[in-house]
Amino acid sequence: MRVGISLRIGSFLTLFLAEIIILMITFSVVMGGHKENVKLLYDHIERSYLVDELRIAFCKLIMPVNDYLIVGGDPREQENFTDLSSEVDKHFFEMEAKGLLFDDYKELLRNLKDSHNQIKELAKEVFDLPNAVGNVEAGALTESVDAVADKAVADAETMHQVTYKQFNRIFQEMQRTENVLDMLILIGAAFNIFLVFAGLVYISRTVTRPITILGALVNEVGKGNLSRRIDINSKDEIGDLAAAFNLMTDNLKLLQQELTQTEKMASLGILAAGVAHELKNPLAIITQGLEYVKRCIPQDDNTRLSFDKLMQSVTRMDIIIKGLLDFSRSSVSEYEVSDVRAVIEDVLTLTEHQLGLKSIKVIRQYDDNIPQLSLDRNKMRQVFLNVIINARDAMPQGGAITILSKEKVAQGRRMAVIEVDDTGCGIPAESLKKVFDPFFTTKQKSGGTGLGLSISRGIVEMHKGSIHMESESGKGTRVIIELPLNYGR
Amino acid sequence: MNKKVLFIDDETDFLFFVKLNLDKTGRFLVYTADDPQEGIKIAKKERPDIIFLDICMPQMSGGSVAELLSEDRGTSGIPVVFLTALVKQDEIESAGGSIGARDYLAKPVLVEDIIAKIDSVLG
Repeated sequence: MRVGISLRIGSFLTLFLAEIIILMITFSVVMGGHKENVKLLYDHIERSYLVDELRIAFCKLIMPVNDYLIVGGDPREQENFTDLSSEVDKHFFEMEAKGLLFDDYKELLRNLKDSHNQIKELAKEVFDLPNAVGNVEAGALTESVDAVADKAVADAETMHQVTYKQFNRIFQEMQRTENVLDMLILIGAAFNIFLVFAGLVYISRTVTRPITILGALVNEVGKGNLSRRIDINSKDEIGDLAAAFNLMTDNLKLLQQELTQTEKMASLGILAAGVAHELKNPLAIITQGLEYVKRCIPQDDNTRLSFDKLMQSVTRMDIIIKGLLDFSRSSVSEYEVSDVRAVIEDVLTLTEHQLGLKSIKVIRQYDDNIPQLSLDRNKMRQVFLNVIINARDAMPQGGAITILSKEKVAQGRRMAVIEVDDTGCGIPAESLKKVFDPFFTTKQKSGGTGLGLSISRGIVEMHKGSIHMESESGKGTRVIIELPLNYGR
Repeated sequence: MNKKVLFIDDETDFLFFVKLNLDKTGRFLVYTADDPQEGIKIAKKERPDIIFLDICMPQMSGGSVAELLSEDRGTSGIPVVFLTALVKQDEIESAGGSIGARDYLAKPVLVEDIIAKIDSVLG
């Protein structure tokens, strides 16, 4: 699957963002509970304060009753009691207004209210007694008031303890929440650090490093080392870039090779023309001289044989020099619309007798639908002649030449393909690389100049076509010639 | 009567052997010149039946020599055969085409070819 760089960085940022959002939501949920608990804590502190005040109010409530019985008791103590009693009621009211959260509270508050009522009734009896001071009944009543008050104070303390217990529970819960928050912050930070680090490593591996490698190789290619290839196959922009770069390098290499080849051929052509011309004159002198000497000296068999051999050598030199001149020529080409099969047949007519002598069979496999091509017939004849003579020379013991023609489409161009197969000795891989080089020949002894295929390639390339050779030692050789169908002058 | 044949070529050794070979046939009167100017002088003086002219000479090209010969009333009628170390017909034509000379011989050349050429040109 193709994953682009922007998609990679994007998904990484999305992951990072999602992590932050999840962390924030968790944090806010936990924090919400915490705030609730803080409120509750304040609430309980207030409640405990109220309970304390109630306890104190009960302690104060019995004082006017006791004071009333002391010698010289003030009759105003009754008013005092009423004031303190309403204070107690006020506290009850405040507590109820605050809300009775727990069942324990309701029970205790009911008990406290009962105690308050009992105290009020007992106090009324005391205040109603005539001559209460020193009165035995009054003493007994006061003791009862004290007892009820003690119980009430005890209840209030119980109430206080209940509040404290709740307070403690909430406090512990808050501490737990704090621990959870600490943990969350720690985990979140750790995860963030991991995510950022992993992201950096990932981006560096898949983006930065390939770009660095690419940069280094581009530099190297820039310095002229075209054999370097970039080994990055990732399915993203970098991979595309690497592939494009490799293609560019390959094309550059091809172009460079072509250029080198063209330059080589051009300079060879100039050299060949010069050498040919310079050699022809001494050769003409040698020919004339030999002819004269031949006429002047007595003729016996050996002298005649010697002259014949000398003349043959001169003729051979002349053929080689003519080849050189052909090679150097770029004489005007004459294109005409022709059937490539007819050109091949012309050559076969010339050679079939020779091929027959060597027991070489010719097999024709022509595709009749190939349109006519724009060809320089003379030059193309030379090409097929070279190829067929090479095939003949590869099969001294006889064999078969198969000539096949077909049409193909390569890179949007319609091409006529002509293949010439032989069943000869084949060409070793080392030599196969050089067969199109000028002066490369394996036929020195039989007078090969090493220019035939080189000239043939020049001609095929002049037609904007290509020629190449495949061979397997001992099995045979195939020459493949491709010519564009729409090429004209 | 022997035909007068003139060879103009900067290769003196070639001229030496050609003259020897043709003299040996006894059919020709052979003149040679290794310098084009001298060749023109001989042509004007001796009025040869046929002139063999090398195309590539350092002093003057065979084409120019042929042109000079055609401009002179005395020599304009003499047929010219180009001798050349260049092979192709089109090159012969570009060097001599303007003066109508079509005949050529490519070096190296055999004595029998020279004689055949003389016979075919002079009929």
